[in-house]
Amino acid sequence: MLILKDMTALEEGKVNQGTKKIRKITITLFFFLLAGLCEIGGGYLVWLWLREDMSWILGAIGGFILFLYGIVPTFQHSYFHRIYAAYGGIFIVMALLWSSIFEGIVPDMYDVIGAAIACAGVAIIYYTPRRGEEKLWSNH
Amino acid sequence: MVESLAPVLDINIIILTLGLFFAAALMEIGGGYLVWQWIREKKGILIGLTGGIVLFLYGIIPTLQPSHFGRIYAAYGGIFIISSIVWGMIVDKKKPDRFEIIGSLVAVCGAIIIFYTPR
Repeated sequence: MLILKDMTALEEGKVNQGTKKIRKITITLFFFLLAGLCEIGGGYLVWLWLREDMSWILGAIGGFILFLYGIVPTFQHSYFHRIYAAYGGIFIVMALLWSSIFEGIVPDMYDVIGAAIACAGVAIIYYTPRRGEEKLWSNH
Repeated sequence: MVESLAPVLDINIIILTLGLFFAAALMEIGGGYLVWQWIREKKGILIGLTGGIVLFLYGIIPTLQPSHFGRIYAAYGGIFIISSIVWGMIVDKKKPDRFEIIGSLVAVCGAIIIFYTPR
């Protein structure tokens, strides 16, 4: 709800530029995290079904969650390919977190260094301000 | 199926895993694109549902990879980034700008470190 309110405030131009930027980043990060949760969660259920020989019902639920995951990026205000590319970096970090929480596999030094580098790449892709695209984020 | 990567990587494993990564990316981005067409471009719900099925099939591919869940998914993220940019070029005819190219190369270096560092 808070996020919807933020978006309305943004569209009505009620907040100043600096706050706007921070809010934009928060909103986009929220949708990236939600997408990651659905994708990795759905994929993990499919994994439990096929690799851990658990019930196919888990796999079917996983499939449905993957479908829901596909809907989340449509709430983002940017181009399809740029949203997806940037999401890839968030996804890397979340995948490592997921396995340390649910499988007890702590990421090693190379996992952490690699994830940090990937995030730097994503910040370049998604959050570099581009001339002529100032309105991209506020209008579909 | 190989249960864990050998300390020294052999070329066959790299080719096999890369093939699976790209197959997964094709299905995930393709499925997501169909859902996008349904919601953002107001195409029919059938297109959206087809996208859902493709996304489900995508979920099966990483189970064929010879490593553990977290690391497979993490490394896949890098392939996914490059594939998204290429998808935009081919399907949406959007030429990647300088920052998209630099950013994806940086991100892929990260993914390579995660997946292909010999442990």
